[in-house]
Amino acid sequence: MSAPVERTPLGHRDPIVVGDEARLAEHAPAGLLILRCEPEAAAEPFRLATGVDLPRAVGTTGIGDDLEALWLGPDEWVLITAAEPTRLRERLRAGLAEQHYQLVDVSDAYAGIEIGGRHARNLLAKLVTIDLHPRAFAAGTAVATMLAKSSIWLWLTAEDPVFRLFVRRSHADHVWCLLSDAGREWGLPPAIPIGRVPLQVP
Amino acid sequence: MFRITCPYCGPREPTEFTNGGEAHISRPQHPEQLSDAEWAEFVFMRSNTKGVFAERWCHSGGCRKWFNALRDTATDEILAVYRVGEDRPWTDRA
Repeated sequence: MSAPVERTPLGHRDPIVVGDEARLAEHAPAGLLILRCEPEAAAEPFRLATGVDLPRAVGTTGIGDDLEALWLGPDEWVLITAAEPTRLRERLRAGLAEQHYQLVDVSDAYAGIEIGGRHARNLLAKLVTIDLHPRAFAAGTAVATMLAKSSIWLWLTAEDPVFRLFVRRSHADHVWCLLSDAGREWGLPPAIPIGRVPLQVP
Repeated sequence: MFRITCPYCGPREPTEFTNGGEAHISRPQHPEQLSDAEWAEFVFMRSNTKGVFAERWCHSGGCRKWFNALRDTATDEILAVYRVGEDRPWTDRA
């Protein structure tokens, strides 16, 4: 038997860069945790444990040193960390011990894609139905929505613009190809879906 | 464009939503005491309204929360949305 190989969901796709027009790359944060809890009671313990204010309205995010919290629903958040999530998990478990909460590590269930360049807003606007105009979707906004039948979390991290998009791992290649196809007018190459990626390579 | 306003997320495309049928049908407190006819009434029987209809919706493509909406079944106009547990809002339309 061959040894298991660690690979990211889009490890088989090379980043695509077309000058400053548009670019597409995999963005794989080390840790994604889903937190569900009662916001009234848990906001303060959460802030003490992480130093981040729990976002409380649609579109909002809470940014910390090594943690970003995106609002997904009135009692649901995704916590994104560039570091290995074990320590964050332990910190939250200790901090929220008195609360009624649920914390699930979904790091391996989601794929991240970073979309940048001058035309990033126009490119995404072909695929999502929410308003991406800067007056409605400024830097720091994050929403849960649909992209061509796939549930996604879309987050505008910088005004450049740089979008980060999270999608379930099994949809990652499909979404990558849709994004690449949507960018063809700015020179992105057509991409052909490869179907199921084997989890082990010989 | 047809939009549904989620009480948590604001206006979104209808493809993000799942319809859950008629709202405000409460489960009987003691199902074991019901006759078959009464149980069938709860399980199967729904009103077939033309006009303002209270129904359940789930924002399955967004916050994944259930809520209620008043929709005119003849025109598809959504007159009000309200959260689960809130009372049905008053309308002067039939």
